[in-house]
Amino acid sequence: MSLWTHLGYLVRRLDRRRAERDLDDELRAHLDLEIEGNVAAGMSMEEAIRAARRKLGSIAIAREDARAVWQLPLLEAVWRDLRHAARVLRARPAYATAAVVSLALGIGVCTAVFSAVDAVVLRPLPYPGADRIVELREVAGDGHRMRVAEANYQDVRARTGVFDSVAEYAVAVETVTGGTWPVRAVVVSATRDLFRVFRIHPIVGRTLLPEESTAAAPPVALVSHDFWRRALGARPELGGVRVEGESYAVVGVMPPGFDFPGRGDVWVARERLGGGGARTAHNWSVVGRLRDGVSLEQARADVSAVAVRLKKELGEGTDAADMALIRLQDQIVGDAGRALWILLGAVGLLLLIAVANVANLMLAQAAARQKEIALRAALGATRPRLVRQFVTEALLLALLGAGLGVLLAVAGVDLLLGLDRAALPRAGEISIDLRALAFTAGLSIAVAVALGLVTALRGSGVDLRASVAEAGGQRTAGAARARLRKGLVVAQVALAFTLLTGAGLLARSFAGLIAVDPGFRGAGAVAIDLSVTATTTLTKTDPAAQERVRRLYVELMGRIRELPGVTAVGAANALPLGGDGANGTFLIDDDRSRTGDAEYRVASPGYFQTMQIPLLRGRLFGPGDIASAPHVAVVSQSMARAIWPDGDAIGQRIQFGNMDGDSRLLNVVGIVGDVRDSGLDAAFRPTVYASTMQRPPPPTLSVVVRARADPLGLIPELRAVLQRLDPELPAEIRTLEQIAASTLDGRRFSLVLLAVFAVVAFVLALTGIYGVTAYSVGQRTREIGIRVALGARPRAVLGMVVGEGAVMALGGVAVGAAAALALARLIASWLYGVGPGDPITFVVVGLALAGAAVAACWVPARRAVRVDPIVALRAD
Amino acid sequence: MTERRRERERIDLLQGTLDLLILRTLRPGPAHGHRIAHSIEETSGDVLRVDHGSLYPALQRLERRGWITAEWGTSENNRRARYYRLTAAGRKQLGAESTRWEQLAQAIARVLAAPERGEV
Repeated sequence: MSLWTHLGYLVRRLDRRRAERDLDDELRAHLDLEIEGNVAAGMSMEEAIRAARRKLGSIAIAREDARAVWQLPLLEAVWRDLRHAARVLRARPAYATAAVVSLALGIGVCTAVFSAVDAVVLRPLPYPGADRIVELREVAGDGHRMRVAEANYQDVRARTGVFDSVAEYAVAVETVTGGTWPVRAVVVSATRDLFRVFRIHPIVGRTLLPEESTAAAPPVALVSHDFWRRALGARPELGGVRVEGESYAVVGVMPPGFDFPGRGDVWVARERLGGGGARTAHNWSVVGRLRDGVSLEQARADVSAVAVRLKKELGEGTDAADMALIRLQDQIVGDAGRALWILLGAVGLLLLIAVANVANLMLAQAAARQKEIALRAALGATRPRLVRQFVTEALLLALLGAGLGVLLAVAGVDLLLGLDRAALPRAGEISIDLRALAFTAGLSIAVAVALGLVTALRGSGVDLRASVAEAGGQRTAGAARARLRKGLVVAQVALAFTLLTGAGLLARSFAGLIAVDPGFRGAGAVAIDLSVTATTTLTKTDPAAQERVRRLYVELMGRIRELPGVTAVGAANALPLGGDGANGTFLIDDDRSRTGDAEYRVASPGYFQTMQIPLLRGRLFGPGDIASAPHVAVVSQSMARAIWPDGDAIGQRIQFGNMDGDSRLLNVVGIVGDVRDSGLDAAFRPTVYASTMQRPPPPTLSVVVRARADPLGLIPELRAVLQRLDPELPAEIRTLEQIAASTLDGRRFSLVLLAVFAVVAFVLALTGIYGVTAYSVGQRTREIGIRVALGARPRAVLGMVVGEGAVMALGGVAVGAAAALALARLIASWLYGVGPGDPITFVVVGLALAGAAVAACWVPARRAVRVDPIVALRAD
Repeated sequence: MTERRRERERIDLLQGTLDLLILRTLRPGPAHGHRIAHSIEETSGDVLRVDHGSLYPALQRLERRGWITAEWGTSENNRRARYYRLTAAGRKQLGAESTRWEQLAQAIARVLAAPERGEV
């Protein structure tokens, strides 16, 4: 055959619609000719048509067969299989939904966790040759690792040749001004080689010059891309900033994402900090890049040898018995890496369970479709053809599951990162990217092949032998398999019960905590956290400076009070829920033998009204409580009860001078309600409030502003007030509700994580029960038929099938209850207001799970009831 | 009665022989599907039975291999019909297939005609 005929044929055949029309016309013409012939031979018209039809066979079949010849074989077949599979799934929505949701959950959590493992552990840090970057640590005689002393760093640097470049740095949170508004920022003081170690170049400007690396040089700074945008308005002309009051020229902006050593905002020359201190002052972090050709092992040996020599020379002069090099990635990822791997293992197990469940579902389907399969086999479908159909069906399920799973994973990653970004290193790099999608694709293909093969082998061929064997009395293999299936379901129910109970306990704790009265009203107020250390050198002995700060505070609160919409303003050195206020021991009546322990707060006269902390007895700070008047204190109710249980606290006197250096006695004038100091779940702490008008002003102050309307709307005006009053004053503004919510971050994280797993386990367990029950009903169609034929009522059949599921569910609940008690004891410290054995949680979860399990059995049970004994008995 | 017996005596075509018979039928000249089927049946003295349902897949198969081509024409009683015609390749294929078939038939005949021996 010539190439041209072949091509011509292909071209004609590509015009698919025409080809189909031709074929239809041709078949019709054939039929007509046959009918005419028959009529001519003397048949009646009706007879002629019937005979012609019989001879040509069903036109549809003839057409399909003819078409099959010119279809592109494999692709067409796959497409046809897919369409058939889609029809099968559409016709069985319960089965399709259960299977797809199971796979979606399994694949979704796997994808989400993989994306975290990939971003945090697998992918190298985003620097060129990142695996060559190491962190140097001193190792003490007892093996624990420490930061490095300056002199040790210098000696190691001088004596070893393993580094291409090496730098030391120290990190501090400092006040940076000169930008949009003053901020507390992470300032990294580093030697200029830091940027050589990372081989990183600024996107604007330059890094430090050699002549800038001295204490005497005019100070310069580099800023992070984030800081540049956030605080400097991303202006191309860089200008300058002030760090703790000292001016720095900004000479460069680092590329986006560079924030070494984590959340770094500003990099300045290490030399500004002066000498490094003693050889036992572990003030410095050291990071280096290994020289090309030096392996990590060689470098470790070399550095260790230097350290051992140093120790020999210096003896007690150094703490470093040895020195260690840690891959920077390991240092940054730390324990989170192992935790993530464990998590990936756990979700992998969930996926395996999901696949096992779906396999059961498919086997149940295969059993239910035995007639269809037999028919197709009889019509000439070969074994590979049937296997392909099953694999295609599995592929379709896996694809649907993967698609849905990716959506779940995207939502899940967003959810977890939104909950607590700080919980994980490199969290900013986590996303569902191409690598994660490739992982998902591979996973779903593996799932599809596994599912398809299991079903095809068990559903299309081997099962026949197995059922014959079972009929012949060899029940062991089948019974063992059934036991395994049921065991799996019991384990799943147990797992679901355990996780649901854990999540339930945490949810009840969470709800309890949210309902806890913090002792103040959070809604409708914002807090401004101020730090005056940058603008004023505040010492306890400098009355002029103290007066200046006090006047600043008074002026600020006065101006804020005048803003429209502000209803109250007050301030204290530490707010409730933060747990970061000072506390200590005070003397009762200045008597050294009578002491008490309390939180110490300095509050402004309007503080209690603004926070809406109720006055229980006595009075609050008044206009008469000025510096020259007797000093007064307001105490909390728990304080009054703890110190003066029998008498009246009001009129009593205490001395709390160790807090602020002022040993004048405090006269208790009022008792206020308790507030939750270190968290909603913490017990009340005895608290002493002194007045900002009498005591030395604190260096940090939180000003609380209560607004008539939405407090967030006030923030720009508050910024403007601060800017006008003192452009150097760093301030952070948050609503009280944000502060309260952030104290629950850790809990919310564990609650959501556990809840997600619990829901996944729950759905899997239900799918498992449904699948196993459906399978067993499918297998026992004949038995059920016999029972019905012998007079079993539908109720009894229903009870038998549901009972079987209920037994599995109850077994799972029993095992789960034991496991849940153990888990609850493990998380007892996270619980609030509920005991680890909380009967309500256990009963509700148990009932819900058992109820859902019975419901999951209901569908196949209904099918069993509808079994027609005649059909069932003829099934063989 | 004779009609029924004949029906019973008719033989289903062996797998693969339909292609050969189609090619042979087309040697004198073009024909449409219906004619091809009846021509085979008539020529065989109504012994061979052509499954009309499997005729068209065979025609498609032969066309695909380039042994026949098809075009629309008008039949003897003024019907539109698709006429099939042997190509040069088809003619060559017919020759080869015929030879092969004859060899096969002779071989089978020899086996059937062989003198019987005792059981081994």
